[in-house]
This record gives sequence, C-alpha cells and structure tokens, in this order.
Amino acid sequence: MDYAFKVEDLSVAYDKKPVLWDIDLKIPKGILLGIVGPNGAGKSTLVKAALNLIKPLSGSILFFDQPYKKVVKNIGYVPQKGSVDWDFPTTVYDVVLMGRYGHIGWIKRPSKKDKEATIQALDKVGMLEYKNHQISELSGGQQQRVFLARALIQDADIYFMDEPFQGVDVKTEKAIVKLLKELKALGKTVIVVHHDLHTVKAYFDWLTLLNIKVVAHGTVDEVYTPENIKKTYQADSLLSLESDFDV
Amino acid sequence: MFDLSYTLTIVLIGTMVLGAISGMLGVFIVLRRQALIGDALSHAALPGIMIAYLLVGVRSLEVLLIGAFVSASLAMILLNVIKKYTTIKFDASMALILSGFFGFGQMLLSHIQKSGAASQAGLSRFIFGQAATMLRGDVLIILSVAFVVLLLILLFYKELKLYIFDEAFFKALGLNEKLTSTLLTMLVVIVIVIGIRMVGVILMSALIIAPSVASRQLSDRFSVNFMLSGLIGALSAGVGTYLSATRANLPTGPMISVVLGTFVLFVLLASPKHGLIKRHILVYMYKYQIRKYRKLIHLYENPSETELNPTEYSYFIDNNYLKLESGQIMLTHKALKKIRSIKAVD
Repeated sequence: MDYAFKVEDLSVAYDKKPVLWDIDLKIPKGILLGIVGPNGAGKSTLVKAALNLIKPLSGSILFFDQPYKKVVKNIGYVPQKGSVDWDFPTTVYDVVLMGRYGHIGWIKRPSKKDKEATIQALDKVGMLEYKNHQISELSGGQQQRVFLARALIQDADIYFMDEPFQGVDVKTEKAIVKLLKELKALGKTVIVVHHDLHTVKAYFDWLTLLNIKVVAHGTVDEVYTPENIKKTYQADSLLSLESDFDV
Repeated sequence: MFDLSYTLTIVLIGTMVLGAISGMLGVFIVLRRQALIGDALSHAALPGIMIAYLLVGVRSLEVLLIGAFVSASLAMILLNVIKKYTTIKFDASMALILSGFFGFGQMLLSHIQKSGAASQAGLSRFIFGQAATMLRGDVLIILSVAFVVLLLILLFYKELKLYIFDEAFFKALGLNEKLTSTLLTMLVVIVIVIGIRMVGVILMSALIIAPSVASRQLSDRFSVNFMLSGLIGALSAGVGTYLSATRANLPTGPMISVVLGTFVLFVLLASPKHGLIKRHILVYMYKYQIRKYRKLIHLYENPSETELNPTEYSYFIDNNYLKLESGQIMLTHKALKKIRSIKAVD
C-alpha cells in the first residue's frame, strides 16, 4: 500500500518533558484524517514535527516514501490562526499570494499565473470580495478562510491543518468541510487537528486518537468507539507514561 | 534662510540617505516586534570603535566602522547564545548586552581621552553623532553601503515580508529561515554602523524605530509603510541635521531624535487613519447618538410597547422618526435607518 505520510518511532520532548512518545503512523493516500485528543496531547506538535518546524528527538518521517526536504513543495499547511499578528499591515490578497512563495523561488516576483491562482483560491473560499481588505478587518472565520486559500494555492498533495475549526462561525465551518471533501475527491490527503468529538464522524473518514502516544488509528468506524475515547481522555494514560520517567 | 554651503549639502545628502534606509529597514524590525534589538546593537558598537582605535592608532573612519561592525555582530551572537542556552528573558538579555557593551566602551573612551593623544579628539562624537564635521569621503562610504543595503532589501523584499508576518509558514514552505534571519540582523548591524558617525550610538535606534511607528499610523499597506517610513526618516534626518549644523553645532543625534519624536507625537494624535483625535471623536459621536436616540432604540427592541404618551416623544415625532397611527406610536423608515446605522458601528 502506498502511504502519503509515514511516521516511525517518533518522540518529541520539550526539555525533559515528553510531548510525543514513540509515535507510529501509516496514513494512506487520499484520506481525510482527523487527529483528536485532549489539550496537551501533542496534536499540534505532531504537525509541527511533520513540517520540520520542530526537531524530533528520534524517529523518521516520510512523505510518499521520500524525506521532507524532497517533497516540501508538495506539502500544504494551515497554521493555527492565532499564530500570526492580524494587525500586520497587509491585505487579504497579499496573504493568500504568500502560498505561492515556495514555488516562485527566491528573489523572483510572482507571475501572472500565481496571481490568477490567488484570485481563484479567494473565490473558492468565498473571500474574493474581501481581496483588497486589510486583514485586521476580518472576523475569525474569514481569517481562517484566508489561511485555507493560502494553503490551496500551495497546490500540494498532502495538507496539514492545525485546528481550522477553532473559533469559526457556522458558515465558515460548512465551507471548510465542503473544501475538505473536495480536496479528498481530488485525491489529496488531508490531515486535520480537531478538537470536537461530536463532528468527527461527519467530517472525517480516518481518525487518530492521540494522547502523547497513539491510542488508536484507523478508519473512523473502527476507531471511534466509547472505549477508545475513554482511554484517550483519561488522565491515566498520561500518568502511566510519566511514572515510567520518574527515575 | 537656507544657507546651504557645499559642505552642508554633502552632509545633508548623507544623513537623508541614512534616514531613508534606516526608516525602510525599521519597518521590518518594528513589525517583527524587535525594535529594541536596534537599540542594543547600536550601543554595543561603541567598544568596537575604541578597540579599533587602540589597535590602529589613527582615526580613520573605515577602520573604526569595522571595529563597530565586529563589536555589534559579537553582541548579536551573544544575544542568540543567551536565548538558546539560558532561561534569561530576551528583553533582560538585551538590556544586559546594551549596558555591558556600552559601559565597556565608555570606559575605553575615558582611558583613551586621558592619554591625551591629539588623534583621539573626536572619538566622543560617536556617542551623540556629529554630522556637520563629516568629510566628503565619509559620506561616500555611507552612500555606497546604503545603496547595497537597499538593493538587498528590494531583492529579498517578498521573503522578508513573509518571514516577519508568519515565520512558521515561511519555514513550512521550505524557505531558509536561518539565512533570512541572519540577513535581516546583518542589515540592521550594517545600517547602525554607517549611522553612528552621524547620529551616535545612543540615538541611532530612534532613526530605525520612529519612522516606521509614524508610518504605521498613516497606512495599513505594507508597501506604503515601507516607502513612507523611508520618506519620514529622510525628512526628519534632513531637518535634524540642518538644525544641528546651523545652530551652534548641537550634536546631530539628539536633534534628529527631537524632530522624529515631535513628528511621531503629531501623527499619533492627528493621523486621519488611526489618530487618537479621530478615534476619540468617533467614540464620542457614538455615545452621543446612543444617548440622543435611546428612546427610539428602546422602541425598536421592544416593538410591543406602542401605547405611549405622545408628548414624551414630541421631538422624535416632529422630526419624522415616529408617527402616530390610530393612537399607536410607530417607528418610521427614517428611524429604522438611523438605528441600524448606529448599531452597525463597531
């Protein structure tokens, strides 16, 4: 089987505190996967480790059987929207265009094609009429849609989205879900950090339950069981790991 | 009134170009919330100047500036080492570096001045800057370095902008973060180094920080901020230098800082975009409208209350906000429009 994303023996720690412990994941091509777990479970850390934003202690990460550096232009990213300063003096259009910077290359200016892709992506997320607006004027949902448009024009085969549903309105939530399904229909692999258990079944077809370790991983039907969820949200699984560490 | 001698013209060109390049670079630094780095690094240049003088023994600007460059770069490296290996907070480490390096530089300066060598006269100008005594050759050095800095900013404009806006996304695109952050810091160090002869180590950071603070009040566009900040920097540096050179040779740094400070204050108050005066007027108008139309708003929110005493509402009836229909008070179209416009203000 071809895997879009394969992680082996991944451990990440901040100082001496483990955040991810011995993670093994095999994610097939073309699925819509939700990563769910309690606060501090390492969901965002997993995404950041995948994108080479933080250095893991150990482990290997492969995309389409290749290391990160070889496929970086093929990986799309939607960071948490709280990660930037929305008072930054720039327009919606400019932020979305940034998604092309990896393709454009150093020093060179955006081409006509890049600009057209920007307009198309803005249209797709329903933000075209805001294209010349200041980003500070946007609502939370609109900010999220701008980030999505920026990721769309990365034109990637695998997408990582960090809490895209965080603090968005109903309209945006629906737009995002529609977009996720469209990406899947195009054969893209989409990995979404998510916090709302109730919507898991409706939004995703695969599910990873994470709490520092992988509790369960597979199709939603297999994984979304009361026992697995209880195990994920129980403080015990966290503690048992810590007790191993108290030397 | 403008008595522009040849020497003064040369000096003015030098400081205005310096002001422009500092202002443009400052936009990146200030938006990255690293305004204080400029301050720490410019203070840290002082001991380098003194050590270069002690080693070479002549007051050649090139040599002294190389000393300044080495010492400011060393300070930058130290700042990064402290950040990486200790738990000291970044602002505290900047304050430590600033005071430590500057103190050491002052000590060396006093030592050199005591020696009484004729060539040392003028070293103290590096503290507050003295543009008027610069030679044509000095200005040429500054112009050529500023040109290279501008070229680099323009070449890497798009990368620098993304880097300061969203560092994580920048890295996720596979762009080289180390290279970009080093480039940005090196440009700051270089601009500081060419500026300290004119403006001095203590106030050089004003020329980097103040123009971009002012331009941010005037525009929400990055490119406009960039150009406006350069313009404000150039004009302030020009005015400050002119005043300092023509009035009893006051040091240039403080004069430029005063001009810049006045300008920032003015813009903060009076900017038509984000100015405090405008904001207060808008807030006042909003509150005034709510007070004036509170009875209309109440009727709008409670449509069932229609049997009321018309005399209490005579003002609104007279002004077509309310109408009487078979003994009941109704909101007119005009009133609905008014209330919606009040509610729409955020």
